[in-house]
Amino acid sequence: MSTETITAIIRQHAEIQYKEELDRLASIDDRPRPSNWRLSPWAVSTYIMGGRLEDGFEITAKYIGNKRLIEIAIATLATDRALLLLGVPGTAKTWLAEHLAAAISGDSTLVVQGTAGTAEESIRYGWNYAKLLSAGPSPEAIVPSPVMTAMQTGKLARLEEFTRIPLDVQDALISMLSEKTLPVPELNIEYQALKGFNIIATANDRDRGVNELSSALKRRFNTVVLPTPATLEDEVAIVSARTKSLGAALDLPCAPPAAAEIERVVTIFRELRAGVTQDGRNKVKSPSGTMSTAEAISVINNGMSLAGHFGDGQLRAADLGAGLVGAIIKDPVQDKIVYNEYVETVLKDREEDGWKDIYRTMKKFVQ
Amino acid sequence: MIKVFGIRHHGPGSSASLIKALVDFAPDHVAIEGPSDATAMLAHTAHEAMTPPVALLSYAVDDPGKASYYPFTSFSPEWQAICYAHSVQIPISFIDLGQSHWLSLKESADAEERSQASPIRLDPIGALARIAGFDDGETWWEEMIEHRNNEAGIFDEICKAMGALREIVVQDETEDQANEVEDLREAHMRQAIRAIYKAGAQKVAVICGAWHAPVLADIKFDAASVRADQAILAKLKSDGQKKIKTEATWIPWTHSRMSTASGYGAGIQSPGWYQHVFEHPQDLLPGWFAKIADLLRKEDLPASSAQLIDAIRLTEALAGIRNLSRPGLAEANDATITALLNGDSLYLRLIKDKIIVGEKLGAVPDTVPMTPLARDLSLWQKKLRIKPELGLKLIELDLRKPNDLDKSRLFNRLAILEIDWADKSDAQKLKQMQSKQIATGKSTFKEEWELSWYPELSLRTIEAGIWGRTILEAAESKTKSDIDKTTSLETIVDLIARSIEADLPLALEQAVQKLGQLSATASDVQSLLSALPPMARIWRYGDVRTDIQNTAQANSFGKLLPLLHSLALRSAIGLPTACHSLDESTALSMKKSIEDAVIAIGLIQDRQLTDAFEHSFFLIADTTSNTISHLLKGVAVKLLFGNHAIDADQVSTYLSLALSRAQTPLNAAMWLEGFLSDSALSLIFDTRLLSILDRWVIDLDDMHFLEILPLIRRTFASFEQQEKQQIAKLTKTIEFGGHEKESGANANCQIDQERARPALLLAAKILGLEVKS
Repeated sequence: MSTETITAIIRQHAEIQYKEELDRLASIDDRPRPSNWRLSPWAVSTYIMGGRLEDGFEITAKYIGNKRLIEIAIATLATDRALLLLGVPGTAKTWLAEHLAAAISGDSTLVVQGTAGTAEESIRYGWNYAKLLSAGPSPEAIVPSPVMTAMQTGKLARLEEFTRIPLDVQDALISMLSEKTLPVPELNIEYQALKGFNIIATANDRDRGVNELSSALKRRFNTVVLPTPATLEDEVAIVSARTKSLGAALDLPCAPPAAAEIERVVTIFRELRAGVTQDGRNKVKSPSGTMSTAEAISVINNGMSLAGHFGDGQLRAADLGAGLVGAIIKDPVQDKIVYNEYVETVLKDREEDGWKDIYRTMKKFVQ
Repeated sequence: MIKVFGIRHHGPGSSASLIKALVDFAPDHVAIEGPSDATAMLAHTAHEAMTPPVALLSYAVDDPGKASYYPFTSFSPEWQAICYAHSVQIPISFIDLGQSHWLSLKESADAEERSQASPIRLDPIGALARIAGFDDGETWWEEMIEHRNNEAGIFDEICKAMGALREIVVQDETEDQANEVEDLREAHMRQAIRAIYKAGAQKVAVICGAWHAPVLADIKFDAASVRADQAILAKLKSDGQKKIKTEATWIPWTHSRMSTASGYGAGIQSPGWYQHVFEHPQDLLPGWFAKIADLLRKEDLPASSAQLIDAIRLTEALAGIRNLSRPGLAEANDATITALLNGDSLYLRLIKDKIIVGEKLGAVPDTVPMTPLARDLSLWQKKLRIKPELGLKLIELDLRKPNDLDKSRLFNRLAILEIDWADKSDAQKLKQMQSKQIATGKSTFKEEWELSWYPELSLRTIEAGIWGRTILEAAESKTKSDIDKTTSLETIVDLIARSIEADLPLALEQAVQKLGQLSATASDVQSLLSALPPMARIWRYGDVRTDIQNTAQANSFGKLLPLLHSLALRSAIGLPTACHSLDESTALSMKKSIEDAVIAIGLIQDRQLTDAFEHSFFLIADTTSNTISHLLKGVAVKLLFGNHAIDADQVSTYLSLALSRAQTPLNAAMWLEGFLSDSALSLIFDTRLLSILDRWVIDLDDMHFLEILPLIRRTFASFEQQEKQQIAKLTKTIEFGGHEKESGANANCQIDQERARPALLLAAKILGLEVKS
């Protein structure tokens, strides 16, 4: 691929973007690896949590949070159990799944996106009807799903938004998970999974229209609940890292935002999410949306874009106003009340200049 | 030859290593870090009925409230050392400062300061573990064991490590109380070890907290060192601290109490896990997860064997990732949440209580020293076959059965002594509260109690020993002292009730006497009245419990009725005067007392009393007096009507007088409240009363109506829904002035034809009708 084509892609796969880190880790990794894994569990954990190698090479942190959860996730995959990542939207479930697949199998492209219209073909296999009609049933006429490809090559398959998939399609997975074989009754053959095959499913438990996993299926997964960031510092670190990398990827003509600005936005998000001010003294109403970290990232990106293209290239409070309003007010009636109350009772009293600017901006949008 | 084994208090790893090391070393005397004046107590540990968790309790003889506990579990290294010594039959002794000094030091030193003994001193192995990057001391100890061949050598290494740690810590700290106490203790321990050698021992094994190991291993026997230690110990006497006389005994202890720090070390948070680790070194995980599965299934949660297998594999994988040679509690918990609980940590709390802490109550044999009261209690427990148990247990008693009656007596007596092992169940308390107020509360033969034992009750039992040598004696003297102290009628009646429930004949006699005294001098009518319902109840239902053969009881009971009689008479006589000039809230409470008292009198059914009360009600209802609260006047009329002392005609007279124009509306409304509260029936069954009331309401002008509206509404709010509906129906049929409306339309219609004519013509014209004139 020419350089032009490479840089024209918005978002690279994790295994390409972080190729250097993965290669370095693979070269110094001498710990035992499960079959068909590119790296040992320790190396995967280092890749995800970040760290410094013996030769001084820095591995960036992909997930900022509790190390034990990552260890549980990796241990699960190492013991041939399927992994189910649960959590409210915006807690890095998909992000984590992608990086786990990239580190363990070197390939994060075997993805099934779950929707209410997902059919069995996406999970098992489909048919090439032209070939079927012309040459009759044969293995060549099968169109493998990502899961089947993963089975045949011993890699990780990802199922996103698993709970949106209709129940009967979900249950197609049950026997695949227990026996690790995919029978093709039409041809009277079966495909058995190679070692290294496993499934990572992500689901969020907050939406409507969610199909809860049947208990037989639930039993075949190990569930790890990803929490929202525990401390302000963690969340600020996450947001800073992501906005920096996204800003570079989108070529935003804007200087990286000041740490104080990010901290203010994150504080607003945390207070509204938790329903209480940062010092724990005043209760605040929570809006109907989730106020997730991912939304905070997009608010800042939005602001950076405004500042870069329509402003002076420096992110200021005025650029954040529109984004904040959009993030907080999802339900036009209830959330407006929440927004007004928050601005007038909490933001108004904050003394520092930065806060005063935010207050003025947000007040302008008060309807 | 001396060998010092520095252990981690209540650590199963230390225990396992210690047992092996002791067998290797084969000492002829075992010295343990414990209060030296309790050495004699060690003999009891050989008894087969002694089951950990137990604690050594030391208390000051003169003030049992000052006490300290020294707990042992089955996996405590100290306990294992004791068991070893018993098994090879060698002597054991405690070598630390005696309890008498410990308690007096606790007193003189600021309690705050002492409890600030740095965490390093309390759990030095935990500190080393944290430095090495481990979460807790046990995991670190396991790692140390795994990576060496000679397990016994670990104690030497610990000693060296502690020496280094001590140097660093002592450098950092400034002189403080904790340091002084520590020097005292270590000097005492050294002297004690020297005494053991002097008595002829050759190989002494010293088991102490790891912190003290280097100091004790370094013990010297030359004269200079002896003098130095003696000098330190002389401080004990010279400081002028009086030696407090103490006694020691063994009491059952619980796993949950292990989490508190004691003078001997930091508490432990997961005794259940430690016990499991100690008992199952081989199949650690399967046994653990099987216990968890058992608990989850009892709670109707899914926990299949396949999930257990997955959980075990995950635990081992996690241990591998974290570079541990053996999985610890943290790994097991992570696996539990992920594989068994579907990521939901809510149920982990339940598992924590029942399994990780593993709540359990130990047992002590009867041969341990017990105060006479404690011994009496344990005898009764055996006789009645109720064992002290953890957790809440509900017992239902039928008082007709002698065994249950004995249990009820025991529980009531213990309650008097504030040993709240048994507590009346909530349902029982509610019933009792209701029946205390109204004498018609039903009495039954059923009683419900909730039993729950906790370790501090052992201390309360000892404290209660100041009242007597048996439970009966103690309860009697405590109640008697309460009777002497009180001067309130209500309290005395309450004490009578309690003496009957607990079957304390002497106290009952004294209480009845005091009641007589108090009632002779009591002048507050309201307190006299409020004493009547409970007394009536006791008189009527009290003998459910008594043994009528018991003549002392029968005597006291016999005295109750005359007292009740005289109390009632005196309150009746004083009642009219007491109803003068009362403000609204006092009047309301007086109203309640009167109504309750009347019900009580009804229970006794004595003509003289009823007459006396009627007489005073007549006086109250007297309309000529202006100072008697109108509320109470209404009440009096209501009660008289209820007793059929006056008929409906008289009532309507009273009513019209009360509602007459000359009366301020407010007073009228108060009268109505007194008359109508809780008795809508009088309005329903006699329409005259309803029509008088109706007329009065109609005659009120707007302002007055608004004034009395809240009061009347309050009165009517107490009526039942059906009563209100009936009254509403009736008001439609009565007419202004009190006559029934006749069904015919015209009967009372008197229309002047002449004056109506023009109006009729105009109406006809509007309607377009022809009118024949």
